Formats: sequence, C-alpha cells, structure tokens
Amino acid sequence: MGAGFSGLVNNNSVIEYPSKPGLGDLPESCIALVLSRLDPSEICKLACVNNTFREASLSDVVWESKLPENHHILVKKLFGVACLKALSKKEIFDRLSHPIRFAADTKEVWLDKSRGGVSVAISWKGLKITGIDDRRYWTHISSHESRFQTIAYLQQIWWLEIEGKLEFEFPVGTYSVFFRLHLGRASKGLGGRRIICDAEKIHGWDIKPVKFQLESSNGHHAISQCFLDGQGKWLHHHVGDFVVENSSIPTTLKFSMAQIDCTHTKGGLCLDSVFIFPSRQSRN
Amino acid sequence: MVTTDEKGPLTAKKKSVIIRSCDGDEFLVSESAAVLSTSLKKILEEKEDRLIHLSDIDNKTLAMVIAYLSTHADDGLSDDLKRSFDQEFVSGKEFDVLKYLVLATDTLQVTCLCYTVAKKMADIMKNKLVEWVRREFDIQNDYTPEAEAEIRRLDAWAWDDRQLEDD
Repeated sequence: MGAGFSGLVNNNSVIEYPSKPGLGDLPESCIALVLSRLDPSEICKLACVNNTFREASLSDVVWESKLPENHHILVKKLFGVACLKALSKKEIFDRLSHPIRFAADTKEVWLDKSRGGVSVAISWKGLKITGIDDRRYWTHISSHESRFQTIAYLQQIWWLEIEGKLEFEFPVGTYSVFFRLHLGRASKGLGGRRIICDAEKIHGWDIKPVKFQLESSNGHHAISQCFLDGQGKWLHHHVGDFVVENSSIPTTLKFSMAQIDCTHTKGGLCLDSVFIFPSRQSRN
Repeated sequence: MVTTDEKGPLTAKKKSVIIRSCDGDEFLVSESAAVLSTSLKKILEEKEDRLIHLSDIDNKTLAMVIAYLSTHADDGLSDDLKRSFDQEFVSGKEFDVLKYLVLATDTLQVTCLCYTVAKKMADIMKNKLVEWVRREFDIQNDYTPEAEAEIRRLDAWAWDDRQLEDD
C-alpha cells in the first residue's frame, strides 16, 4: 500500500496520484487489495478481466491470506527450503493444492482450493495391518477407485487389527479422521458397469462392532464402535476429531481400527485409506 | 530544520492542520486524526507546514476520509462503536464512491479503512461474470481472444462449478 508514495510528495506537501481512473485504471495495488478479499476461484476468474487484473491476481498480497499460516513449514517439508524463496505465494498455492505424495508414496497431502484447509490421506500401504502379507487373509488389488490406485481386500480373518501413525505440521484448526471402507469387492462388469462380486463373502460385521480409536500428541482421545453395513459403496467411517492450536510443531496422531473377537471370522471388506479432513467440511 | 523528540512533536500537542482537496475546499483536522494516515503523519513529521494540499482527492472523498479519521481518533468512543461506524460507513455507497475511497485511502495509507472499502468492493464483484465486471465498471478488455483463453486454461479449475470431491 502506498508504494512509492514519498516520490509523489512535492515541496508544497502535495499528494498526487495518476490521472482520474475508471476502474480499469485503478492501480494494480488497489485491485490486489480488492481481490484479496475474494475466494481463490473468484480471484482466478477475475484475472480474465484485463491485464491489470491479471497482474494484481498474481501478487503475494492476494495469496498470502489463502495459504495456511504455517505454509513456510509445509513448503520446506514438502518441496525443500529453496522453493520457499523461489516461488510466489500463488505458485505455492497452486503446488500445495495438487496432492503431494510423501513417506515413500504412502501418504498424500493437499490444500483444498475452494474451502481452504489441509487434508491428508494415508494409503493402506502406510498402515500396519495384521496378516497383510498372508494371502489367505488379505489380497492387494489395483483399483481406480483409490487415489493411491490400490486397495487391500480382506477375504476373511479372525484377528482384524489396523493401526496407523502420522506426524504432521497441521495448520491450526479442528480435524476429523476417517477410515475409507467398502463392504464387498467392486469390479468392472460387462460394458464397464460397476458390480459387486463375492457379496456372499461379506460376513461377521453384524456380530460384534468394530472399534475405532484416535489419540493425538496434544491430548485428544476418541473411541467409537460401529457395526459395519452399507455394502457396495465407499464409506468414510468417522474415528474421531482433534484440534491443533500450535501449527509450528508437528502433531502426532495414532489411529486404529480393530475387531479382535476370535469367536468368529469376518471378511469381504475393502480398505483404501485413512483420511484426515478439516472438520468443518461435511462428509458422507 | 525542525528538531523532534522520538515520538515527534505532533502527537504530544493538540494542534490542527488544514487539508485542502483538489477542488480547493479546506478541512480543519486535529493532528491526532491526521496522523492515523501514515502518509500525512510522515509529512507532518518532516515539515512545519500546517497546510497539506491533496492534489487528486476531491472534496467529497476527502470529507468522508476525514470523518473516518476523526471518529477513530476519538478516545471517547469504544472499539465496538468504531467497528459499527466502519460498517455503516461503507454500506449503501455507490461503487464509484468506493473506488475513489480505496484510491484515497491507499494513497493516504489509512490501512483499516482501505481494507474495509476493498472488502465492500469485493462483495459487489463476488459471483459476477467477467463480462459483467467489464461492462459495469467500464474496463477495457486488453486481451487477445487467444491470451484470454490461455489464462482461463491456466486456472481451469476455478471455472468448474462442481464441488470437487475426493471420491
């Protein structure tokens, strides 16, 4: 604001600005101020108005407020320290809003372009699953229905136990943790139609509930139990919520899903990933 | 050359300055109000001159800015009252008026008012088509059709009205 102002003051204390404007002649800095009060999609659309709007729409003033307050930490962690200086705030926004893989491609993080907020997904490959490499219990299936292009299918097991851990610098906010599950195994039928095969293998989920647990390093605990149902569609099963108040240090999360009553087997379940969403977003 | 103490001589004493608009109207303003503008504050710190001529701010815009500065310099008013003054200040104002206000407050560096006015202008532009903004605010489209298409392509997601879901 007021850039170059001192140069506009002459000896008689006169303040001048260039010719009387139509809106198109408003200085870029003023247009940037207006744009900074809009949503990201609105800013990008209004860049099409003319060249001045376009230039204003790229300025750091506009995008600083659209980034998480700890974006310096996230950029360093995800892209390296050199990017912090080299990229404009708009470029950082663009890069953060495309899913970024980390932890040997088992985890993904992205910034929601429309609503703001950082989300994380953890593939089943990044979880600790009892018996995962024993093909009598679990099989690994390629699937376009997973953002990681792979899901784990449980044929049957007595001891179901899935655990995960994540250490991440979440921005300040409230988050919800979900397991993304699907009863029955989906596959492509004739003509690419989605069909559920092995529906008869879905069993054991109505006998005892599955227990979900969440624990965060800053003291949030949640335990919930739920009978799995709703075959044939992907469901986000809510594990619990946690709150981040300090985004300059990593929050450590431990979460699990278990059904360890060995009096019966259970099976016919697909596991995709664990999702962590800012909890103001409605899910399911 | 005027010597000043660390805070400057201006905030300490209750003085007034005269501010003249581009159309020659003069406004008597207390220094405590004037210094809320970072630009005016700098001038007053550097010069003995009690008359400041703003060669490109018209009398109507200047009157509004001064009303704002005087209200915010009034120690007798609570922050809540000042906030509701700010809201009423911009409500119902024509876009043209806001445009001159944002220019004036940007030049005078009155940060808070500048943000409030910019927010109000943004609210008016919200959810409007690019063509509407050009027509309504008389903005020349200086893109070639190819350049405009390219800019749309770069942020194509913004034109997609569907809410992106993860499923």
